[in-house]
Amino acid sequence: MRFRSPPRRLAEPDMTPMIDVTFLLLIFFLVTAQMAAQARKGVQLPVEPGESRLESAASGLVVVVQADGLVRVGDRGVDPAQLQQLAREAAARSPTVTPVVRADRAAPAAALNAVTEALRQGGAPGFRLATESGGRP
Amino acid sequence: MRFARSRSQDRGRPLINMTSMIDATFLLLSFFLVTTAMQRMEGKLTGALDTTAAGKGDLQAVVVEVDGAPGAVEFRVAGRTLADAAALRELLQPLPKEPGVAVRMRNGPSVADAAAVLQLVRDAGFERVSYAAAP
Repeated sequence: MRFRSPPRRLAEPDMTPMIDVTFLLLIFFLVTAQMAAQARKGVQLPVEPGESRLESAASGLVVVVQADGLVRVGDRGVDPAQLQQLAREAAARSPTVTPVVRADRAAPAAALNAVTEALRQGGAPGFRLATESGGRP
Repeated sequence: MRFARSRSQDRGRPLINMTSMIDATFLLLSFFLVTTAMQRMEGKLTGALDTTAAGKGDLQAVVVEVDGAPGAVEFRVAGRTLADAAALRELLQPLPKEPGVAVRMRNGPSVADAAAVLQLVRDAGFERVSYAAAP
């Protein structure tokens, strides 16, 4: 007499950690992609290695100077008076943090001069000019 | 003593099919992995802003005035006109570093030129660097 062998159960791998990691990666890419798009829209930074050491990585006010000389903070264009007011507010919030200027390499120095003058009048002690370091931190 | 759950008990639990969700998630993940453009590393060049008036606070600093057109700048230091960056580097290298350098930028050159000058001054060993528009 032949007995039927019991049906063999398939081993099921635990998928939970893999799904967790996948979702974490997905959320990371979703968040960072939006941030990068906001901050780096349409600006080609000057190609310079920059300084070898920086005291603070924090940045309060970020001023963008486009190639045509248009100055904006965030998504809106600002004139020198508005920039001066923004610099004053930023200096009141965090006096030690210097504003970051993200200026297009082809923009006229006149635009950078206007920005630095507005920052100076707004009470900023200095500024940090963003560069494309191309490997060297 | 623990008993293994019988198959009849398993039959009562609702099973959610995760396959389609995992498929969609992997698809999105692959999309972001492929489309994400890796940005180059960024550096920063700091410049102090003289809060007294352009240049007046740096009485001891070496004043470097930058003039010219984009890509064709000339430098004026203590009455001398220097035609290129190499000459400026040679002039700055042996100077004492403590007083610092005051960069005075005219409106003619470009932002790339301004960044190049700030970089040159930093590379020459100066820690105190101020920036202002040339009067």
